[in-house]
Amino acid sequence: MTPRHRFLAALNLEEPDRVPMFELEFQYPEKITGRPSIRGEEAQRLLAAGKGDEVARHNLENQIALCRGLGYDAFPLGVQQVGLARKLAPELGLIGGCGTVAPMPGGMDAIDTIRRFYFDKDGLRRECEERARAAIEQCKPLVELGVEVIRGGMDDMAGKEGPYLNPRLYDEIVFPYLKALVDAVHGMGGKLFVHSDGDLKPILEGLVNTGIDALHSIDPSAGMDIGAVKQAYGHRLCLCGNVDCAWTLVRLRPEDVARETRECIRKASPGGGHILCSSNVIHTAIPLENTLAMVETARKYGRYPVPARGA
Amino acid sequence: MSLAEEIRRKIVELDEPTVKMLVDQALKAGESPLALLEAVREALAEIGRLYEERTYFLSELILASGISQTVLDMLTPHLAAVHEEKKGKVVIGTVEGSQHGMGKSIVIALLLANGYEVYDLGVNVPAEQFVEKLRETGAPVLGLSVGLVQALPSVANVIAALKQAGLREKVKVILGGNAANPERALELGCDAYAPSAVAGIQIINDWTKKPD
Repeated sequence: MTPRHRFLAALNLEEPDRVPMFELEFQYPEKITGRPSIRGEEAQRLLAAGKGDEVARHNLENQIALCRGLGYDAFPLGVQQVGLARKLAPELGLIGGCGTVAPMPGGMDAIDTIRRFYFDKDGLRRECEERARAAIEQCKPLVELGVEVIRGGMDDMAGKEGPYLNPRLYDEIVFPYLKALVDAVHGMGGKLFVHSDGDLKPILEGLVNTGIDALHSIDPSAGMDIGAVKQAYGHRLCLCGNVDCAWTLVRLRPEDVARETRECIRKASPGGGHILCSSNVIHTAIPLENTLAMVETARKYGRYPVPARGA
Repeated sequence: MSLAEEIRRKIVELDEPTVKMLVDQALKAGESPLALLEAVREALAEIGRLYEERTYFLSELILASGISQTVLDMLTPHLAAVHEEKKGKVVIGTVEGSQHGMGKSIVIALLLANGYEVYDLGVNVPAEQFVEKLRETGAPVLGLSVGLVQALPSVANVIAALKQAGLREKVKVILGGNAANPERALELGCDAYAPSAVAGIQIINDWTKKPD
């Protein structure tokens, strides 16, 4: 089974040969591939010198080398890179991206955004409609090019203390537009997943009802239990998560990471419909040995059939 | 129903336009600004209770704090001559490298509801700015928020800056945010970790409690 087919099987809620893996972002590819991706000032300099294609190709090749090096089954990329990625790595799954259908409160202007949800619903709905239309347009070429799944529609909707907005406002304003986007993507023959940090429990039913194909990352630091989500919704959507990258991966030992990874697999993988990831991204504060412990544990214990927890 | 009571009720209902109108009406009618201020406090306390029982969510908490701020701005010129005792001063901000402001907003709303004078420095705040504001206000409590693990070293930088400025012994530091936990907070040199906004307020209340 190729990584791409493995990834797709999980998205289709089927059991592949082993639990697939991917990361939304991997901040030290050079530790695996031997060469850093081109970012920041260097990327800006090369772009200004008209070498944008070289930068894109270098970073794409590095992403592919990273996936092959670690056994990741898919990776995120821009629409312009899809054609080349298919040529260079036809065996890997590809993850496209689109915008969000509604603004979310955050940062210093949080209150202005929240005020709109209470006092400017018509204006907000007009914006959501426009955002949904733009997101659909972004998805069209991605689906035509054959990416396995698109990440977007909504992003972080909650913090550790719960959803940013009253659940009623998600049901009333946000989710109808997310559903319209999901329906449009499904109509094109594509799939869509949403990433959100935080405690989503009060809005999870509404979110699942939009028809999204997968949910990333089931934030354990906010009290999200991937086993409970699997039990309630595992027959309706694929779960992407959730080895804790705020604590376990950063602060604990490789054997602790291995234990949590195994526990995550036992809770979420049985029956398929699970893709193993960190609870957000592999960032620079995570020791390499912990990242490797997570990957090795997935290879060792993620072979199907995966026994259920306690079995 | 008195105008102050009506204002309290409308703040709890988050009816900002009516609140503004009623406050204006009350001030013109010569109502005591202190009575109106008390109505704001009572409303925020009620909203805090509704938030704790999950009838209200973050959006209501932040909106209520915004409405209350609008009322306070309307009352301020009328309060100039009236001495009003605050429970204490708190400087708060999200450390450099982290843009997360939502958790901090909840804490600010609850601090206001508890009668604190709050100095919000925003997000991505450099260590020196915390020191400057603590010096300027004499606040005995500093609330730090950190939403990204990568920004944890910034917490240590703030603690180091406080020590360098000779303020560390005068200021209690409480840390909150997804990226931290109790052990990490103490390792970084903070005095406490707030696992939730409500728990954080309780810790600050204990610190600022005046002896009987």
